[in-house]
Amino acid sequence: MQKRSLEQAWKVTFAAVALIATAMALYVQLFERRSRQEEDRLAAARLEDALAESRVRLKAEIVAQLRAELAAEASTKKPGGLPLPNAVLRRGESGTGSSALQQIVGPLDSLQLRESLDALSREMEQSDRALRRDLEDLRAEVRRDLDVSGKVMSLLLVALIPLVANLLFSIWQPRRWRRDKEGTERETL
Amino acid sequence: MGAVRKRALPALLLFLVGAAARAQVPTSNVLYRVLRLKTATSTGSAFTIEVDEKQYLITARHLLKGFGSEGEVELWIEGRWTKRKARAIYPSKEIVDIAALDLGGPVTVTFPLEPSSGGMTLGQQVYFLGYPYGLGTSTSVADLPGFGEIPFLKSGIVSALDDRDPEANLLYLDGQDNPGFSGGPIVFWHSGSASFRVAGVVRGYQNEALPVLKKKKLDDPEATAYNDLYTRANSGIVIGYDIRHIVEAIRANRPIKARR
Repeated sequence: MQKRSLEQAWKVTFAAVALIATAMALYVQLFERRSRQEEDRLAAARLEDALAESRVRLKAEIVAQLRAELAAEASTKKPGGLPLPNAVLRRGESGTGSSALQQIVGPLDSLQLRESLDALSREMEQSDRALRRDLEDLRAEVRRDLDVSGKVMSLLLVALIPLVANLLFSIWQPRRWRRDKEGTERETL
Repeated sequence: MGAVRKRALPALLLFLVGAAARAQVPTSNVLYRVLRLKTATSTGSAFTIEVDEKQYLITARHLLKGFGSEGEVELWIEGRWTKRKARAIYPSKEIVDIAALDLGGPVTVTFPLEPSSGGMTLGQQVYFLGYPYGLGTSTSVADLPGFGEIPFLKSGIVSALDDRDPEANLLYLDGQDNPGFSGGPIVFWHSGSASFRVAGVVRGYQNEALPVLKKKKLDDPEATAYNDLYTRANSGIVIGYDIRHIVEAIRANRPIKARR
């Protein structure tokens, strides 16, 4: 008698654990998946924002640097003053007014700077496109992984639910038999 | 984000380096060091270098004929000839056509300019500067105090380097030298240090004897000189001596003075 009740207790415990696991799996499958998708969407948006911000900052830094170089160049074009090291001597672009040579410090003139800036912008755009492509590939890979894990979880649930049902049935069935048997015995007496 | 930086910054550097490579013309570090020089017997070119933080005026030895070890030279500064006392230093070997003049103080800018032919490549473009026939850039940089006259710049390539005599290394350039460049610097772009270096001093050009021909014999390659008459022509080969000979002479000269 005692042995049977111990067996019943174990079965009830297993059934409870299986029920809880099933409920949790169902929850994960139904609700967590949605929140994960939402998280992915937010992360992608955040990444996109960070990318745009970085791009703007980088552009601003480079433009500022190039402007500073242009300003430095302009300041060295002033006639007179002291001799400057590493300067080349050049006539002004306009060709009018003073024909004196001007000291130009630095190898870049404004046209070259503009060309450099344009080329740099093109390079950055290409870089952005490549980065977006990489990001899309990464997202697609994550989606594929999620789909696979979702399918695995669904299959596990499909396997688990009948098992739990079977366990519950095996607990419930002996009790009913016992009640039926006791009822028959009372009727006989 | 990091990838954008990684790609953009090398691109920026590449463009800056590329632009710098396009602008390899002699800078003020070279131009402002070249001066017109007049001695008792000649007029030519000279330039300054620093050896152990002291400035020396370098020129061709043949311009200082009869100068001895001390005397007076004239330099074209601020639009007029200025007399300066000088002490001459010569390389040990007389054939080396370089001399250094110790003027007692700097006469030009002291912007970096290394006196060395180290790193010069055969076939590389070089510049030689000076005042051919006393000419220079007439419209000089406006109002630069203590400045002479912008020299003539000419260019060529390093055709040959003759170092058979370790005490008289010769540089041969393919270029059209003219009278007046003697004593001027031969400079080249040293990519390792991204700066110009003085490799040598212009001695002159290789003469070529051209036979005088009668007009009807001009097309005959076998024609001989009429009445053994020849004319002197510029072969287009510039001859210079390695700057290291005078640097060594200056260094050798200084300890002797210190010992005294």
